[in-house]
Amino acid sequence: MVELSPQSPFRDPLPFKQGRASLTENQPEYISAIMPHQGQETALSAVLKKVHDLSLPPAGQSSANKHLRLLWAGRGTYFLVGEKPPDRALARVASLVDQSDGWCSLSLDGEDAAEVLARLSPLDLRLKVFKPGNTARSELQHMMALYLRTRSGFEIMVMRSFAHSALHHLKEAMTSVAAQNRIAG
Amino acid sequence: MRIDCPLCGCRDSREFHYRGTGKLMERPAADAGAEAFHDYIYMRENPAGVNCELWFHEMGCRAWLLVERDVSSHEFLSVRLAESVTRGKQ
Amino acid sequence: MTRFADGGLIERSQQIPFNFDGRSYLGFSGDTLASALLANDVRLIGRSFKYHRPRGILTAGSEEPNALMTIGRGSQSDPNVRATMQELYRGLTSASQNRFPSLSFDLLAINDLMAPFFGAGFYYKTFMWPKLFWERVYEPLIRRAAGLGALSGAADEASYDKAYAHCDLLVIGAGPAGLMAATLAAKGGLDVILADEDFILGGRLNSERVEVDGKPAAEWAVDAVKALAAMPNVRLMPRTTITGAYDGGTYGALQWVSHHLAEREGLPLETFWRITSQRTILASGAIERPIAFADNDRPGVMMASALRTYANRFAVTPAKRLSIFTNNDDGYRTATDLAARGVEIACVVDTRTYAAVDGDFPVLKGAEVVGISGRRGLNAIVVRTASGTRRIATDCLGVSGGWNPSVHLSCHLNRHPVWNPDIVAFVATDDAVPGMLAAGAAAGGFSTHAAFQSGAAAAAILLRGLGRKVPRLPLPKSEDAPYVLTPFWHVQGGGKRAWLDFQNDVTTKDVKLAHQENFRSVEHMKRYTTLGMATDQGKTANIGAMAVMAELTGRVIADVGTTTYRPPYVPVALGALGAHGRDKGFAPERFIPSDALAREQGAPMVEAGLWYRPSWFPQSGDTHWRQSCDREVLMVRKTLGITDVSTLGKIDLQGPDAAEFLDRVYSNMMSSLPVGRIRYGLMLREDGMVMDDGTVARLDKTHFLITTTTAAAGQVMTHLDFCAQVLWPELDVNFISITDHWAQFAVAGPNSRVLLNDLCADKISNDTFPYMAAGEVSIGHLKARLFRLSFSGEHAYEIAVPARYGDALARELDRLAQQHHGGWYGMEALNVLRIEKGFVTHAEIHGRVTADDIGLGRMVSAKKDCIGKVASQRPGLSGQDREQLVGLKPVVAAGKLLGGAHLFNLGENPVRTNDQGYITSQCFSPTLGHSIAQAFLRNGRARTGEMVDVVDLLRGVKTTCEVCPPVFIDPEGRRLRG
Repeated sequence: MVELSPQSPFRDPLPFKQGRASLTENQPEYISAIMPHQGQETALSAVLKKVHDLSLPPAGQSSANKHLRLLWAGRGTYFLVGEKPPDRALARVASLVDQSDGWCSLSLDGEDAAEVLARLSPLDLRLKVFKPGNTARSELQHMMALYLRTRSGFEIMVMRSFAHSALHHLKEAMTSVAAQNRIAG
Repeated sequence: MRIDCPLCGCRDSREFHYRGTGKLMERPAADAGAEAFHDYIYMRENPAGVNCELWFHEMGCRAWLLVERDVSSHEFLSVRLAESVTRGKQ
Repeated sequence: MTRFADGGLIERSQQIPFNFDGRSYLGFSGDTLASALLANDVRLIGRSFKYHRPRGILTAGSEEPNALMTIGRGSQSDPNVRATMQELYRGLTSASQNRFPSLSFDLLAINDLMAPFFGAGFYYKTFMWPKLFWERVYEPLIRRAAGLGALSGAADEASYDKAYAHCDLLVIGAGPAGLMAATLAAKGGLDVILADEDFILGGRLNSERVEVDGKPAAEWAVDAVKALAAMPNVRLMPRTTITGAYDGGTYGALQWVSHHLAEREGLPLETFWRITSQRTILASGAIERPIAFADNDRPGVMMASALRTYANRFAVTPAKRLSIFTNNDDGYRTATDLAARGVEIACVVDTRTYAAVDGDFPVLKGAEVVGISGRRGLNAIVVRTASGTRRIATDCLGVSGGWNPSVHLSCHLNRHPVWNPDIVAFVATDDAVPGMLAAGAAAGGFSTHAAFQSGAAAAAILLRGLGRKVPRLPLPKSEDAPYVLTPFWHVQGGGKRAWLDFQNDVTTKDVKLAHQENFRSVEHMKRYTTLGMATDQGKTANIGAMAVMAELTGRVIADVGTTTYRPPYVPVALGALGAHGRDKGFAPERFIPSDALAREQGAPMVEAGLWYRPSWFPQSGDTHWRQSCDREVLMVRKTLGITDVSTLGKIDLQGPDAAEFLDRVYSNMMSSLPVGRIRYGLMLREDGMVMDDGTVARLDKTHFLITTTTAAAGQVMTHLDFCAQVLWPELDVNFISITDHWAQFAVAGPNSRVLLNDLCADKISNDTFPYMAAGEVSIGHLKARLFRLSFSGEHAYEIAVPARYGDALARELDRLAQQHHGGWYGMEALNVLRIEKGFVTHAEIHGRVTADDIGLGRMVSAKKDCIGKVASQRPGLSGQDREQLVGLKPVVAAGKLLGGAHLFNLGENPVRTNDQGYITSQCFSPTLGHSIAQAFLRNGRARTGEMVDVVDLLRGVKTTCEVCPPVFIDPEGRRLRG
């Protein structure tokens, strides 16, 4: 009997490094959309605490434990990202949808990460505005994206079919920023 | 223009999709008759001042927003989640 | 050489060779092209727009109207670059513009002699008739005679960048006011962006011989910039022009990234910034204004302040024997500064009688310059005083008519500046752009001290407004000379033309003509004379023209008013505005899970929205796409074919009210759908037209999977969000796109089930998996979703696996299909299959058709409300007056059918009034052996069996067809259910 083998959403080799920025692929095993049923946010929060030891983050924020992160991912939507799928107990208070293969994730790190991203996203990326742990839905060069600010840079998620375009534009921006920094000395 | 999304904060208008008048909130009842629907679908005010509008944060959180905007100055006077406004009426 | 032996902000150790009009010259690092040309005694640098008059450099800044150059060669050439802004670099190649055959001998200078015919309103009056002459004679003539630099005609090879920046305070201009404001605000804790057009920050501190805190102003500026650069909350942006102010604190900014570099490999030429700022300080300085007098556009007539800049900053003097023409004290500064440098001062001509300024040079008070001699370079001026006229030999005349605050950006949101009689100029009103304050010369404070003082004051106001403490920062000590001026705009009398707008060749005579012909409002005058409509937007011109008009109409300038300014402040290349929008930047690309395999098999890919899908799969020996397409169609009908349908929109929809929600958004009933079954569904727009079609699968009682067409996936998602949030937030339903999560393949044809039973662990039969069933199967250990659906009319399935397995599944399907003499089919075959079966796509549901038009009127349920139901029942949206979907087949098998062709009753004249409908989709049907089409035909369903003419006048085709039902294959649907 045939067993199908999985494949990365990215065609081009990673990691990629230019100047003071680097781009690496994240391969979370599970990405699960959690959408609370009407009026069930508090109940969801309680169940999350119990089964995953995670709190329900407010808009634009995230929570995390050792194995899982819970990202606010838009109106009424949270993404549980990590090694485990959501506990079925959550299904009583929320709709659960597997998005593990619907989104791909990249990490853009380094001193110039924000400079690079400023080429592709209209977000206010200043550290005092977009802090580590914050999430934002915005565009990445015409693509819908979910951003997470990390201590070292950004995690950027786009829908899987856009993987190649996202990578292309990020690499171009990294190359351009590195060249501009060289002349700035 | 920038729109202060209640969920995402202040964002560039390029992230939003403009739908049209806030009147679209008031869908007539199924038995309201063709006239009521004609009015709902086609008849529009054209104020040179504050206009009530629906915007969709399409490239952001995907919330529908009901805004009051002065179309002569592009000043946004209020931005609310459309779902909260509808719920408030129900 | 006209370079001083010492001084200036240039690097004399770095000599830089450059080229102008084919000749080589040397300049220094730190030069602009303009300063280097002046240093090489090049005075004639271009020809004027309309009259082809010889022109020289007028200014030292962004406002330069004359010195426009083409920089670079071939596809890398950049026309209309202001030489005053272009930094010198090794090997820079520049060329003058608008001259033929050469700059010194220009044949079209004859235009100058024809000037009486070319005055204001010339186009309007001359090129009226005959109409035919417009395109063939007049326009080519004007294009040749009048103009600026030309584009190379080759694609622009330069790359452009775009970027976003955010700050608390944007300071526009890094002169004394801007530096002061930025320093105070940054010390107060604000995130500051300080942008300036120049490559050295400091503004006029770099041009004046004044002291700040006891040291030369330029040195003070270097220290101030250094201190700012060391602060983490400050971003310095030299070479960056703020081009526009927009709503919500958004500003456009053009950064010249590599214009100043000989080596640009890997670098963008320019970056277009979108800067968002809570507050803004407009410290854009002021622009010195000319005085109009006869032949005042001759090379050698320059702005007095520009002469100071060239002398003090670049250590260059174009003058050996200098004269000054002024109506204010500032003109004396130029004389003093250049005299200190050893330049002989022929005289200062002051229009005022009371001037109290002294200098070691002759001063003629109450005097006016009435004439010039020297066509390509000034050699004397004629001066009129109370005691008569006299000729004074001079090779350069510095003119100062006073200063205009640079209020342009404050006008971009449609606010007009206000007249300030104290300085005889327009100034910006505060908050003309919300959150913006003007400071320094831009606010009318012309001394260095006033600039520091108002910069600090503006920053303090904004800091307080943002709830911050204002840090203590002592004001630097500097000059505070009063600004004493008596307005004087133009010299009266004399027959010769006196220039107001150098770039668009507008003279005082043109304004008089406009007045005479009753174009007296400033907006009318502007358009009639084209004043201020050139690339410099009249930065040096407008005020003079308003003054002349005020005089003619017996009003004061404040009453005449001013035209407003629009973005951009300086010319911006479209390439910069469209940065990242070229090539792959135009739109993102979406790739299907089997993309790699399709390309390996040589399939040409076609765009479907953002997606790329295979058109057909060529085999060796195929000479035409139709061979591939026909083979694929017959393969599906005979055995089986596979195709990637992952692009269809897939939405996971759940919740206690999910069924109710679907009943409201689909025209037909969905709540009655049993679990494990699929139903075809139609969505209407609220106006009753069909929005999209698709399928609904019920996976569980409260769990549905709906599909949309590829084209409308985004629109449908937005519509569902609208319904759920705006109309019915009380319904407990959640949904999310899962399009990208699933790789989905159609397996179609009589052998499709055989293949699936080879592939899947679970065996299916017609009983366990009938037509329109949905369920889960296993491929090895992997769970897959199976749907028994058909878009081809054949016994068919769609199988879906998580996308990471898509490529592997595609390859496995490929292997299994070959065992049954099947294989891939592309978009062309897919389209033929669905036309044969009479299924619609967005070619048919194009936004103007109702459910009834496509024969699906019964799908609008009578038992419930839905979006679009009431409107769809309006009279006129159904019945025999509508164009209804039909099939067409040619009477002669070889008859041609073309998409977009129109239908006419047999033998009727093919004109609009006889139109009966049109073809929406057509193809050659390999199954039937002739062309077929889907078409909309008036009252079509009642006309089966009738003959109609299909006419395409554009392509010269006329074919007689028989009207038939739109379903050509298996109308009973036996194959689907088999």
